[in-house]
Amino acid sequence: MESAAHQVTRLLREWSDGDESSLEQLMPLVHGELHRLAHQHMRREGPGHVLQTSALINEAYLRLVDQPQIRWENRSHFFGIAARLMRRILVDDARKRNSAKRGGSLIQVPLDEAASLAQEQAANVTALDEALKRLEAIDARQGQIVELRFFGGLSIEETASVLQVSPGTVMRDWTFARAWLRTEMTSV
Amino acid sequence: MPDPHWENLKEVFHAALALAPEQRAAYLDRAANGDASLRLAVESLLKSHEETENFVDAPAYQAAAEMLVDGDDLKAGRNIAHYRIVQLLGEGGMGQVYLAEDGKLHRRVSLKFLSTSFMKDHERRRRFEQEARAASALNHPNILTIHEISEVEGRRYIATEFIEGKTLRERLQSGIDIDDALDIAIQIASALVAAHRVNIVHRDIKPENIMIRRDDGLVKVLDFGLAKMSAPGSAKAEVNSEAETRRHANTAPGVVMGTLAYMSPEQARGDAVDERTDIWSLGVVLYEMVAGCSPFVAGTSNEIISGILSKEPPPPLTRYSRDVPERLAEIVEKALTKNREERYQTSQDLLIDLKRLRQSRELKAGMERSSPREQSGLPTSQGPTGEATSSRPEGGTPTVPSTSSAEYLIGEIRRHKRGVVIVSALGLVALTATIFGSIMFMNRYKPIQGRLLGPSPAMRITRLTDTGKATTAAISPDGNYVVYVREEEGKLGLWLRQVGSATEREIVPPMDGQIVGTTFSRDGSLIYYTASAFASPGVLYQVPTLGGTSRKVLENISGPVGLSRDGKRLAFIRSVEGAHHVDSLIVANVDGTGEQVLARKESPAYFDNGPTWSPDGKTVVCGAAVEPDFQFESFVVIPVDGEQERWMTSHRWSHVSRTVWLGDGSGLMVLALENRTTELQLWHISYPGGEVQRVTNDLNGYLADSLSITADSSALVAAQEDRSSKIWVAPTGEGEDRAKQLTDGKFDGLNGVAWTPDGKILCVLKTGDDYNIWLMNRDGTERKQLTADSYEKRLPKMSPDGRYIVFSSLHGESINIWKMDADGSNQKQLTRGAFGELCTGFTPDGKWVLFWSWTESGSAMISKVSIEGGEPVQLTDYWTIWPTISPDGKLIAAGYLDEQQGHHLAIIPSLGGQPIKLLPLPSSMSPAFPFGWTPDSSSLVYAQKHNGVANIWGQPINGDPPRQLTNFKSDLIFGFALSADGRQFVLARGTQTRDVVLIRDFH
Repeated sequence: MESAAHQVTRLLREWSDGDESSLEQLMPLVHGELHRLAHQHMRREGPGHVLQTSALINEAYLRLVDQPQIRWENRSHFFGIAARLMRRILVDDARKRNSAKRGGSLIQVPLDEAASLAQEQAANVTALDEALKRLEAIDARQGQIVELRFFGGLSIEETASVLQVSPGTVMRDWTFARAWLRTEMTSV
Repeated sequence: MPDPHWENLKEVFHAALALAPEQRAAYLDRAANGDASLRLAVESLLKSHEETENFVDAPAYQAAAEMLVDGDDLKAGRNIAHYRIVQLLGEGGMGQVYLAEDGKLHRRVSLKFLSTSFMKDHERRRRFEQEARAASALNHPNILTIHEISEVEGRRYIATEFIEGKTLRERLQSGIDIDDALDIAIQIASALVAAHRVNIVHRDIKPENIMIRRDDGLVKVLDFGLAKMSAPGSAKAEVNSEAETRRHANTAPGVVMGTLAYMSPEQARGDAVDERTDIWSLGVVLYEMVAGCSPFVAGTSNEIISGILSKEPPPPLTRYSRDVPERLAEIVEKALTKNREERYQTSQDLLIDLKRLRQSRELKAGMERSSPREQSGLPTSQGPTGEATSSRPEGGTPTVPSTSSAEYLIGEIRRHKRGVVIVSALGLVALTATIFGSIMFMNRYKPIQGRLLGPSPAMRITRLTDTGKATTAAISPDGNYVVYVREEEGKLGLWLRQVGSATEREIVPPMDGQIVGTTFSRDGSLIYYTASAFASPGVLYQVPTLGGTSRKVLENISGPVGLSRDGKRLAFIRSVEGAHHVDSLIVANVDGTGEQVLARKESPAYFDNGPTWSPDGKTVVCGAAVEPDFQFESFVVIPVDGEQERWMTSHRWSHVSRTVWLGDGSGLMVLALENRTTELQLWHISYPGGEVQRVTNDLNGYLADSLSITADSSALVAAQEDRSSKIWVAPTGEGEDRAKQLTDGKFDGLNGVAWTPDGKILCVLKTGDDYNIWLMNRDGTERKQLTADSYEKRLPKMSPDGRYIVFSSLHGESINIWKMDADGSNQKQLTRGAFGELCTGFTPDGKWVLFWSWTESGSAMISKVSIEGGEPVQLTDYWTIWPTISPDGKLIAAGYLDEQQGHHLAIIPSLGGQPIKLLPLPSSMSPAFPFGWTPDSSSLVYAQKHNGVANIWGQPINGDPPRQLTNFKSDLIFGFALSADGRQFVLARGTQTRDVVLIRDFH
């Protein structure tokens, strides 16, 4: 049986070679690993510990990707996938929250004012996702930068090395994209 | 292909950004060159840029990672801590809520996992936990019980009681009539009274926080202390100002509006709140139940707030319907008074008014019908509010409410604080008593310290009574009188006997319920006694020694009182039972005034009943559980002046009971239970040395409820119990002459008798100190011992295919279900519950073993476990004991108790769930359990006692009159089983006596 690491490496390669279907296979594998790692961190550090998304992704990458066969692009692809995954998780969760109904028929859920914060955030995440889709349609690289930075948690430098552009370019694009997204979101 | 407009937009934006703000306008004029839309776009981008700051920064990273942890649902069947997830019930801002099964306690709970973001705010979390812990100490039928607050895999959770039912919000949709509304309000108010008494304010009473149980309409208030703890972004729970309230309301309109309508004016203003806020909110809820709409209806949250804050009172309730009683409208108006100084000042006052109103309505309804209501009353009119519903006139004879014959069903079996069951059966020791009594008798290991000496050679023990029905005795300080409780046909009376003569007189006539302690006043003129209805708190009465009327002294006490040497002060224990119990050691004046709490023990620590004053009046001694694991007990000395308590001795016992001081202060005489002995014995503890010496080693143990001493310390009075049981077989329907005695031991079959599928007898016999399982023919021949170890065993049953025997056994700390092969080999443990599990038989297909167990909260439930092992399956989630499955496998009969209907026999579907039918308990049911069934599954079979003689009766489940199936003229029945052909009974029969003894020259 193919090892998980080997499988991930293979799928990454296939995906970077243009096979879009490998992404769909890759997602659950990466998600599973991130999930496991996140739990492990929480157990180790206890509640209240701040989880760094980028650290998680790095760790997942090291665990999942078959080292000897590594190609540079694999890493950037991996981070791209992870960031996209994070976005998916967040947006799905936000949708769920937006449509969450209060209380079940069996038992009352202790809803509270925190719900307002959560719902506020949830609304923002969905709005951001929509705006980001529009941005991606106009400027793919800026979209990618926002995805890597905001959902993937990468620094300017990491983003630059993943995208193989200069940090200055990332910085410029990032500054513009943020302003654009904010305008887009507040004017709707 | 880059869009040239887009590229241009980026260029101009970056160029403008590089300039100082004041130069940007001029630059834009040039760069836009008349393109108004480009200029506008760049300007708004620049404006956004200034505002971005943290926009699209940190939060989402962390949020995403956190959501990985708590975002996805736990799958059904997943085990987390000792819980098994059943299903997701819902999600809230604070986290997710699941229905789960507690694998340890075999009960359903609701598990709330707190979200990671919530947990990160340390201050909020700290306050939350502090409040949750305070709330978890609330023990009231109308308050949702918090079982546990804990953490697993980095996730914090709260386990609470699981309630199946509707929220009041849902209930409101179908309309509520005035009597129901009143009943619901009374139950909510009762919950508030309990919480306010310990200074917990709910702060968020609203229909969403009130559950109505489906089965019985019991109201549960949820989330005490939790409701407002989760306000985001601030360590403070409340908003600080009216402006903040309004702002908050505007940011999350939908959510907050639901809460706003129930907010008190002081809450809306952001002022500090107290219990009067809950009174207001209950007023709004009651208003809404009656009117069908909130008193502050409005389109926007700002209008709601304005409505609450305005001086205008809400429209009177009478406007909505002519049926609304004037008095109800007044009560609601008083609860909804804007100025809280003019509102009801305590929830107790509100509760009293609501109850009075209900009472007058019931009276009126009864008179209008001009015929009295049925005695039982409607369930809704009873209201399980946990409040005392009847008050007793002063000076009269106490009449403890009747509790049917349930005492026989279970004696007083009270789950004690550490998973131990304390038994003081009423009148007769039930088989249950034998079984549960010895749970606490058997601890795994026992540190032996101190000298253990035999009885003083000069000691003389004299029996003072010979009826076999005397308990709860005390001797007068001058040694001339002994008071004791005598049982006559299930009722208890208080009797006085002159020592040295046969003269006796009744001083309190027989009554239902229990008497758990007797104490003479120092001058001997009065007798104090604690009486209680089944499972209710005790009430302390005093009665003149030479007869007269009883007078109530104190309420809500546990066990006997101790009197100080000067006769002026009382000491007693008051317990709040439940998942989180609290025992308080209290001293008071002899007239019941001036209560003062000396010490408290909270679970898992506890006090035993029956504190005693030292001769100098400076300390009180009481039994208590010993840290760190509270498996053993000893005696603690508590100084009255508030100094540190200390242990009287380093010796530890399995269980300790009453104590008396020797008059010279040189030591104590105590009743205590050494490990592995199954009876309480008398001990001496020296003071202050703490040296321990066992004084008696009697075959007949002493009863826990009696120990007293004369003023000159020359004589003690205690009560002893003697029991004897043999195995018999008797043909159905025949007399004693056709019955045959098979064994001649002392405790034969007390721990169980049963038939094997091939018609042999399986039983537990005691040889030496050990209870082991034996097999014999139905004529008593070919006896074969199947087990030979020192673990006590009970209730053996053979599987229908004859392959296995299951039984209950105590290894370690808890009694669990075990199985072995039919020849006694290959013992395996089947269950691992923590609160005692007793098997009662196989399902007819032989695949499952039926059993029942206690729960942590003191309830009892039925479960089954596969003969192959695995997780048990819970069959009932309400109070049920001693299940017996019908031979056709369709029904289970079990003992049943609920707060409104009392004790019954319940008929339950064999796959579990709610009872199909409740049958009244036979009166004077003999202490023989479990029930049996006739082979055709048409009748229940049980033992019933009449005039001190027990016989087996059959009760058809169709309700036809019962029929007597044996015809014995003497003795009691401790256990029985009917053969598969219905023709023969195997029985454990014998005698049981309890008498008062006088002990002299004991030291």
